[in-house]
Amino acid sequence: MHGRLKVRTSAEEAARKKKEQEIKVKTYRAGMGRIFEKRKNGQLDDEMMQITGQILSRNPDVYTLWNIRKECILKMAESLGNEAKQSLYDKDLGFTEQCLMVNPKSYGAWHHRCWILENCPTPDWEREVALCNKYLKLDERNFHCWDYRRFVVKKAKVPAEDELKYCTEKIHKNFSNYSSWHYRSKLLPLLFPHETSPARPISESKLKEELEMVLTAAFTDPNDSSAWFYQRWLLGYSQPALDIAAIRISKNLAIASFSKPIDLRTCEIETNFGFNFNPDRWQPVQKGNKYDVAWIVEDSFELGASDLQQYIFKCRMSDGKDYAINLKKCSDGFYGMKCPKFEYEFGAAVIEELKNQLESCNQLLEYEPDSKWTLLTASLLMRAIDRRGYHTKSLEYLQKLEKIDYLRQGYYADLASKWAIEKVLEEWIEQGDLTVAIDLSNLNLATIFYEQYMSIAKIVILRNNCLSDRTATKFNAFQFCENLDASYNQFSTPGVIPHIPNLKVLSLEGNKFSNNATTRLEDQMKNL
Amino acid sequence: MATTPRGGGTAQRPNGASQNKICQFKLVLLGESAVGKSSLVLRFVKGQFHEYQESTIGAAFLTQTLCIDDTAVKFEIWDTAGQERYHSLAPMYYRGAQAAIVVYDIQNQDSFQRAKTWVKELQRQASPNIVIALAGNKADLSNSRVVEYEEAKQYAEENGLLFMETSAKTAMNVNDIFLAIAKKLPKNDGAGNQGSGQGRRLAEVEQNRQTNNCCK
Amino acid sequence: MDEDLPTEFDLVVVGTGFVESIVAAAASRIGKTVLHIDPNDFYGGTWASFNLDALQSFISSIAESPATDESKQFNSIKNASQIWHVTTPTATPADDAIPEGQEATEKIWTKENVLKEFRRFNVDLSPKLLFSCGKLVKLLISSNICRYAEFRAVDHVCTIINGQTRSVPCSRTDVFNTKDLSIVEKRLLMKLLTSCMGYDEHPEEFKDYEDKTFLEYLKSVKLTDNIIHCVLYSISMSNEQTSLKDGIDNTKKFLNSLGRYGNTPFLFPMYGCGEIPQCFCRLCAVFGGIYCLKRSVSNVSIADAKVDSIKCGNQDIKASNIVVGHGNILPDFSIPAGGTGVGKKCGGISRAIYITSSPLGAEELNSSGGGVNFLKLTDESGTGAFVLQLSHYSGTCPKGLYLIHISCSAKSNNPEADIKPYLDKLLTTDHPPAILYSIYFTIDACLRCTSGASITNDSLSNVFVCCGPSFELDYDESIDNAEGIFKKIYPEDEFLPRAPDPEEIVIGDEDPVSVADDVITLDSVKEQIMELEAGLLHQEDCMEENSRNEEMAMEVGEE
Repeated sequence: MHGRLKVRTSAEEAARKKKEQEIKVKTYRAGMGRIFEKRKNGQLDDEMMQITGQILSRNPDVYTLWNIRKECILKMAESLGNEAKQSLYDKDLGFTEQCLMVNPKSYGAWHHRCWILENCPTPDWEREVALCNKYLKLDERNFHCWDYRRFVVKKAKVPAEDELKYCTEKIHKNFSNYSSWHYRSKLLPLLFPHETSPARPISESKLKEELEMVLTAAFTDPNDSSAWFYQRWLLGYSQPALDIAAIRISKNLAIASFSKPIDLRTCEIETNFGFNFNPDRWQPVQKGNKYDVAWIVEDSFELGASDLQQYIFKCRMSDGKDYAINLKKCSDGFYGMKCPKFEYEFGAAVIEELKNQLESCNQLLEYEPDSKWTLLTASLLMRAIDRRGYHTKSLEYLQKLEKIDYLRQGYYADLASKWAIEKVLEEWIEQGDLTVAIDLSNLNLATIFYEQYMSIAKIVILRNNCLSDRTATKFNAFQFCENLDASYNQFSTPGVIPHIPNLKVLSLEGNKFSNNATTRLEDQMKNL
Repeated sequence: MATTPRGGGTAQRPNGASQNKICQFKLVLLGESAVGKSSLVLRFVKGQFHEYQESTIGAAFLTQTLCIDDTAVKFEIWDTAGQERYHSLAPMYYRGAQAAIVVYDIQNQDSFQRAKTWVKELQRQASPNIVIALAGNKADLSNSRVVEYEEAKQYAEENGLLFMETSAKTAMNVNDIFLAIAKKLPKNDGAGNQGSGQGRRLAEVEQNRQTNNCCK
Repeated sequence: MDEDLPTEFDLVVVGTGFVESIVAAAASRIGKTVLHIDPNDFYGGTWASFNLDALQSFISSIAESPATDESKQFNSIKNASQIWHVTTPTATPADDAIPEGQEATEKIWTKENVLKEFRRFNVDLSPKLLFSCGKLVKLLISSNICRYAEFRAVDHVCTIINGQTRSVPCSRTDVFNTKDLSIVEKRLLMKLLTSCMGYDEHPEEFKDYEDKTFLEYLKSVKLTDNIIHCVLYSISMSNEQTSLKDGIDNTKKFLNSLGRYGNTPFLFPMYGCGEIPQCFCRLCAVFGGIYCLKRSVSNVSIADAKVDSIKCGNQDIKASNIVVGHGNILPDFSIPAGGTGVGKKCGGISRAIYITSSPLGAEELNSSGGGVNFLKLTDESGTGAFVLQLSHYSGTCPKGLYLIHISCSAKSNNPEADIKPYLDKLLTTDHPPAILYSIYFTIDACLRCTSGASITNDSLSNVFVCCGPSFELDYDESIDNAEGIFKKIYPEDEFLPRAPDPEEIVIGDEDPVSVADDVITLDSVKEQIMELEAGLLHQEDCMEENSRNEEMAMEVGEE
């Protein structure tokens, strides 16, 4: 009396799946065939839209088909009035949304949407913002949608305040969200510019709040790297600002070095002491580089001709801004140097917040003395609060980290090298005397930073560190160096030390060269 | 037993190229035993008709999709599973339903009265926006009709119901009644996207769950 | 006009409570013929939900009949009372209880206008929550019954600290957002939760506390009182005596259920827990089970130490096995043995239900009208109480009103007195609820659990008794009970295997291997496929076709 349940057997199910798959493949091939045939015949018509639509709605990542659709739409729109045109575009907007439902991370579909909105007669940007809201609600980490959002928000003229609010909501919902933190770092400088310094991205009071928020995230889930990146940005650990680093001009050699790699051949240089530099004559210190931190001209310069109050070297760089440096006269020419900006200098209120945060970290270290991210945060905070005062302690933390977080040993070693060099370099620049050696010996250096600032130095001592072949190229910057002490390091390949024109003394003992290589090196040194 | 080819009515199937929204709705069938509720569903979903329809064992509901302009309306059609036979239909059956077809047999006055009771029940208990259609089934047997078309039509109008006489056997008005419901259902954003309203189904969420766990 | 029932079944189930309904569904699912009856005119028995009208008459009917009346259907619920705290239309609901800052335009609720909305209520006799990764959720998904019901993720897990109702930070997001914890506390809490999750991998971390309480462990890891309170009482739902192992297991259970459906680990069924037994009933019906409410068993005939047939109305119905629910046990059945593996007694629950016009806790716990909030209260010695607050979003009460359910272990025959210490805790918080109406009753243990060891008559080997609700938050014990009964009757069969999706079912004379024809919908493409097939068949003869195919193959290859 009961009916019986009939369910497909597994064999039937498999056969059905196979059949379905076969039909799909056939449809795809047939569809593609038809599309290319039609395209060859110039039939960019409604049917073309339908066939491409069928394939794209199942697989929205066939980029060629999106392009064909564009061709189709442009052709079909030619003969239409504005209203009809708009409805044609609107229909395709609807279609892209259908594709996004299949794959919300389809590059093709998002790009096509941008294209439609830029080409249609009356784009509705507000609707696009709403669409972003919808998709970010489904997945707040969909970076395609965040990118698209930035595009449409600009067009829809959504106030940055609203966007910041939105961004904050998303972070409160789930803070492991690179896109959202990143967007924040773009919005805050617009809304809360720094009170005085244009180089600083956001105001002190906002910075204080942001630091608090990001530390909360970091404490909640230290394994989430997105918050750390944002914290770095807040503390100013991003790329240094573009500036001149050092200049030196002697009778037959001039060097200009910069905080970041640039292409000096595209810059305009101006001096008030009659030196004209032909852009084409500049050479990067590392041969073949298009961008480099240090550039040289080998030429003969007429020194001592002028006698001015100030010697100014000015450079208009690719950002269109002028950067200038005052040069001093010395026995064999001119030189000038700037101290690099290591970190931001914060106001009292922010320092107060940083101190609180440091206090929290230290408190936590009592419970978890080996917590790696707490150690790292604490050392970063110490640097931000008082770089010199905490110098030893912050390096101690890094050393500890090298031990307990073995996998990132190289990272910590590099960071420690950077900080150690900063201290020496800063003191050397403050002295401002070219004849004094830059003494970087015994610092456990794993690599060299700020080599461009050392490009004008006469004596560089790197004795007893852990430098290896990978850092040797940095020596290219030491164009004015006469005495380079690289003894007791880890160099092993004889040819790795580059040619330095002015070098008179090179010490390489205590490295890891083979006997054979040592002999050859000795020969090389005799030639100096 | 007879089987007619599919696609006979005005219902369109989704063609993938023009629709851009998919709305899903729960539709329940109500009515006395043996008025042809299951037959209507089978005709609509499978294009089949069996004179001596066995109850459909094991199917919690069947689905069918219609295209209205640029929207694909997916019906999740729930049958009573025989629970109405001894007047024991569980209220969870019509919870969250956005549409209902109340079916009677035009040859059976009792079934019409019973249909009216169901309409009243739905108006009281179901969600306030529910779209209700009244179907006078077995219209192919109109020579033994006892419920007059006009009478049912008037009742439907008074109560704001869609109304059609249908025949699962000949397919008359079967697709049409579903199409009429589909047209009347709200298809704005958010409608019919996830179950009925505030709640969520377990398995659907399972598919796009996010790992927002404390520790993992 | 009632039709006669068929007269022979593999299984007759009496009562439509949770356990009975699962057994009925499981039997029907494996092809057994099932008759499922209930003497009541509603589904669910002790597990039912009522609208307000039905609830009031139900409570009255119990209150009015003497407690010893064995003939009444609801011998599982007793000590019932109800009282309205608002009567006249002019009375404002508990003036002094309304916290300041409440909207002035708030509706004034009178008994009349509450009652007018009676249909909007679905008041549970036995409210429960589901762990998102718990037994019931798993069963609903594995059996595919989950498609029948909808759920609301519980909005907040609350706790009361120093008279303040607060949301317990459960998820990583909560911990990040809460203002109640310092950043160091946040770190410590996250760390504790992580180490609890890793208990099995790193048992050495807990070695020194194996024989100690969970509280002692928590104190040892230098947690602040705030965190200890949240973890001990709310997350692990433990008390001072809970052992380390239990505390950690409970914590893990909580954490494992996070991040699936909402911000807390819990789900509440839309329209109330009374829906859940009905879902199982529907599965039973879908597989051919026959349903009949308002039918009871008036007599049984016994042969060979088995019940041979039952008298139902004026029909004799033969049944191979009989399953009887909590509250439906007839004197004639004696009490069958057949321990179902449940160590704990069912029932023994004191219940309170309040309709309130304002919610417990501040606005941020009840944003936009409130959702579903859960609160575990403890007392010094006992197992504490479960408090569940429901708003209209749960489909169980009208907008602007709230349902507060309290359940605790029964200590006396006076549920109001049992509940009072917990109610007092709620009423002395910073934002106490304003109560309009209250109900108290006791859920008794089933007869089998009550009689305990005195059960001696094991002669009726084909009768099985289901327990009623247990004092537990989720349904674990009840599911074990149902599965145990099923396995006793059908030891060889699978318990609720996955029901097929509609797409998998072959209906009528359909070709089982047929494929939906909306795979191809464009005539021009269909045409092309035919051409393509023809082309492939006559490849050698037709150069032109061949070259076109190559072109296409290239395109496919590029993809």
